[in-house]
Parts: sequence; C-alpha cells; structure tokens
Amino acid sequence: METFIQMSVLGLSNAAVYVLLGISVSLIFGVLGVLNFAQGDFMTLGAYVGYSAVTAIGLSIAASVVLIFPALIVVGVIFYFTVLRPMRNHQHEMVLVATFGTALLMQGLIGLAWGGDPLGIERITGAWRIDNVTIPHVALINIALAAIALFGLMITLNRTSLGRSVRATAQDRIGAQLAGVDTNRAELTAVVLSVALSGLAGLMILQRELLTPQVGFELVLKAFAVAIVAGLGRINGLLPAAIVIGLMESAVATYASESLATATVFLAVVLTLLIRPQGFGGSRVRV
Amino acid sequence: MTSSLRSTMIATGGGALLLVVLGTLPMSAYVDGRITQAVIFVGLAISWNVIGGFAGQLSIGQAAFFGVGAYGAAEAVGSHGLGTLPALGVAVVLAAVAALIVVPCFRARGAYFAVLTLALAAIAMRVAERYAPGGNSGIFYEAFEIDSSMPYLLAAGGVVVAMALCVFVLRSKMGRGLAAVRMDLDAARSVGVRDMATRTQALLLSAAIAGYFGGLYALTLGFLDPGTAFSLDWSVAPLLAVVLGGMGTLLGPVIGGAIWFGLEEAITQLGFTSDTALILQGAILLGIALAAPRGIVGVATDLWRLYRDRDRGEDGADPPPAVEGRPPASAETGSGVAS
Repeated sequence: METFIQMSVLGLSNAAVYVLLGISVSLIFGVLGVLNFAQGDFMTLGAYVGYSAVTAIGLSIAASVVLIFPALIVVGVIFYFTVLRPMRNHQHEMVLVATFGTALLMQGLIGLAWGGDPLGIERITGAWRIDNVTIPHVALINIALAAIALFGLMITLNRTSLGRSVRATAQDRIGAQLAGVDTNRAELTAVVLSVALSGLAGLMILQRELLTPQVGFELVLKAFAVAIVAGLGRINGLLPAAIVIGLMESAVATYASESLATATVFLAVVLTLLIRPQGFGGSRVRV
Repeated sequence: MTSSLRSTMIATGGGALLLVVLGTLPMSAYVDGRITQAVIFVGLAISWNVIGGFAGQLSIGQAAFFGVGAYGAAEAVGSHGLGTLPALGVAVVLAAVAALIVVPCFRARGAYFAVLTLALAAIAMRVAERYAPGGNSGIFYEAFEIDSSMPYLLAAGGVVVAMALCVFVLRSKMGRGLAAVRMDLDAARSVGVRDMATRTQALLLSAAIAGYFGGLYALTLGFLDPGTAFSLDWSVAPLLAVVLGGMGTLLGPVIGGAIWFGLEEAITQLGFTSDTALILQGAILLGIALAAPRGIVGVATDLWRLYRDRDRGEDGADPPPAVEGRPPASAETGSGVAS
C-alpha cells in the first residue's frame, strides 16, 4: 500500500509536467495545425533561464518566473513570426521539418550559452512523512502549480475576448475571420500562452533533474503522447490524459522496469491512434 | 517523363561507376571505413525516401527497421553461424516483417502518422533493451576483417540495387499510385487507387532496404546494443538528409545523404563542438523548409529550367509556351466573336 501511494504521488508529480507541456503542444496544434517539435526546447530554455536567475542573479525559484516568462515570450514571438506564420500555407511535412530545425537550433544555442555539462540548482528537499510514505514538497508544489496554471488558462480561454478568439480560430479559422476575429492575433496569443506554459514546465524540470540541452527534446515525445491521447488540439481531455499516463508510467516503473515505462507511454499513443484517432477528449469542441 | 527517367538512369549508372572508382582508390583503412559508412547512410536515406518521399508518409520510425535488420544480421552471424549474404537476407526479411506491424498505422495521417512511427521506433528500442539477445549490454559477434573491401562492395551494390528498384517502382503502376496518394489521398481513393496496398508495398520496400543497410551496418561493427541499433538518429538523420536533397526525387537522397554525412564528418574532423553542429544543422533545415522546400534537386531543376527558357527567349524564334492544355488566348476570343 505504501508503495502504491508513493508511486501515485510520483505519477501525479510527473503528470503536472506532462499536462503543461501537453497543453503547450495542443494549443499550437489547435490553432495552427502544427505539431511543434521545438516545444520541449522552449521548456529547456525556460529551465536554463530559471537556473541563471537563481544562481547568477540570486532570485528565489518562485521569483525566477519574472525572467522566464519574458524571455520565453520573446523567443516564442520570434518563432511565430519567422517560422510559423511564413509557413502557414506550406506543406505540413515542411512545417514539421522547420520545427525540427528550430529544435536543433535551440539545443545548439542553449549548449553554446550554458555549456553541455549537466547543471542543477539546490532543490527543495523537504518532505512530509506519513508512516512509511514520503511525500516530497516538490511533488505538491508541482501539482499546485499545474492546477493554478490550468485554472488561469481556462479563465483566459473562456472568459476573455482574446481567449475566445483563440478558441474560435481553433474551431474554424475562416468562420472566425468572417465573424470579425483577428486570427493573426489569436495565433500569436496561442503561441505566447503555449511558450509561457512550457516555461513553467521548465521550472518543474529544474527541480526534478539535472539540465542538459537535450532534456526537453526527450520530454516532448511524452508531451505529444499526452496530447494525442487527449486528442490533439483538445484541452478538455488533457488533465485526465496526463494523470492516466503519469500514473501508468510510474506504476510500470515501480512494478516492472524503467525502460518498459517509457514503452508503455508510447504504447498508449499507438493504441489511441488505432482505436480512437481523435483522442479520448470527449466533446467535439476543440481548445 | 521518359527522358527524365533516362537521364536518371544514366545518372544512376554514372553514380555506380563513381562508387566503383571510389572503391578501387587506394586509401587508408580508416577513410575506407568512413566511405563505407557514408554509402550505408545514403542507402538508409534512399530507403526513407521510398516511404517519406514517394509515398508522402512522413515516417520518423526508420530506426525500427534499421535496428531490426541490424539485430537480425548480428544474430544470424553470431548465434547461427550464417555467412554474410544469408545474414543480410535475414535482415531484409525481418525488417519487412516488422513493417507489416506498422501497416495499421496508415489509418493515421500526416502529423499523427509521424508521431505514431516515432512512438513505435521508441517502443522497439525499449523492447530490445529488455528482450533482445544481450539485453541492455549488447552482443558481440564476428565482423568483417578491418581491411576487407567486402563491406564497401556490399554497401555500394546495395545502393545501386536500391536505386534501380526506385526507378523501377516509379515507372510502374505503383509509382503513379504513390504519386496520387502523396498528392491527395482522398482524391486518389475516389478514382480507384488501391491506396492501402500501394502504401503497404512502399512501406515494405522501404523497410527491406533499411533492414539491408542496418544488417550491413551491424556487420561492420562486431558489437551491437539497442542504443546503437535503434538510435533516434537512424529515424531523423535520413529524413533530414532527404529533405536537404529533395523529397520524392530519385537523386535527392543520394545527394542529401552524401552532403549530410560529409557535413557531420567535417564537423567532427574540424573539431567543432556538437553545439555548432546542431546550430548548423538546424539552420540548414530551417533554410530549406522556408526557402527551398524541394531541396537541392528541386533548386537545381528550377535553375536548369530557368537557364533553358532564357536561351529560348533570347532566340526570339520560340514564343514562350502557352499554358499546357489550354488553346492560345487569341483563338479562344476569336471563336467567341464569330459565334
């Protein structure tokens, strides 16, 4: 039983990272129809900026977001105007290739700026002990952060006019244009929201593992997995999908083996695409 | 069409000749070994071009077939004492069988297909880590002699055969089916192209070629572990090389593969850091995707056409050709007035 609870906490903490990255992927896919291979590298950049904010400037981890968000938004806006918008009407193969190129470029630039050696900060090590179960504070912070971010995103998408324009664009670009929605602005908004959430995920990664320039690229595949199981472009199903995948992964890692855990995540993708390609997100409303 | 095919076949023959000359040049064993690796990489790029270029199915799972071929050949030599050629045969067959598992993935399209194949290749690696002979720590077996010219000959021969197969496929009904599927799957279906069968054939051919070169790669090593055989690089690098060379063209994978491999080699030799290499590769990909989506071959074709048409224009004798399939504008208006 202790193992089970322990495993669940770990799984939920992973799910917090996955849900943020999954939403990042889904937002851009929903609005622009692009599967962004560089999404994980935005997260990496966020983590590295956070690292520098803590070690070089001496900010606290929580305060480092004041640097992470602006940095990522600048990069995201550049990415949108140089890659996503010019390629809006290109073949989707070439857009995938372009995001892939962006991913390599960012990994190279990050490596150049911070070096390839693994970096890390002093982590929050505190934990609660209940009988034999250890619940690290970090796990709870991650879960809380993800919940707050999700709540904020939902408010933005459902209650603000900018957010509603994002949803309208995702549902039907031409229809939205006919109704007077500025779809360019909606796209930019989606990209900015997406990179900001990735940066937040980077903050969690900073607490979880040592940074290398490749850390995000390895995680982006899992983000794709979560987004596909939920249904690409659907935000509604993301939370349950992330929780299921996070728990599944941590269960297989605990009771079977680490390498099979990763395989299970991808197996979930394969089964989803074969059984229900539109994902398990439920309603037909996207974003 | 025929003339372009003829010129392609001449180019293939020329390429084969070049490969033979390259092989006979006296060079150090190291350089020879690198050239063999380059030719193997070109072979893998050709294999990806069949599914990614001709069929237009953006697969990121070629590592699975490459790895299965590699393990197949390694095991055939190491545990069953087979000769080189039978071992390569085993590699081809196993890779093709593995491809049959991927066939249901054709239900997914575009980005979904890409992620699906990526996921399958990742699963293949994890499964190999756990269940392949030797597990995570890998297997040892007998490789080629260090100064043998056998691996080079097999690689060069493989590339020539693969190119010939590609030419043959493009000329056949299957090639036209693939072109239709690539351009518009639904339209192809509606005019009766057997899209599933066509795509399956392309996948099988692609996997078989990848398996051959995977097996050959393994036989040049003498040691194999899942990380080497199923590395994500085998999925991604051929894709990038073909994009660079020109997707769906016959010569694209050869040119792109040679340049990509040469680039990586030059970066290592010149002592650049891996970061510089990543930046360079990323910039190349972005440049190609943004400015020249048809790759080097596409750009070269455009330039050649421009050159040819400019000559014609200067003559003054030939007016620029009318839009194909439409009568000249004057005839149209003339008849309109008459009636």
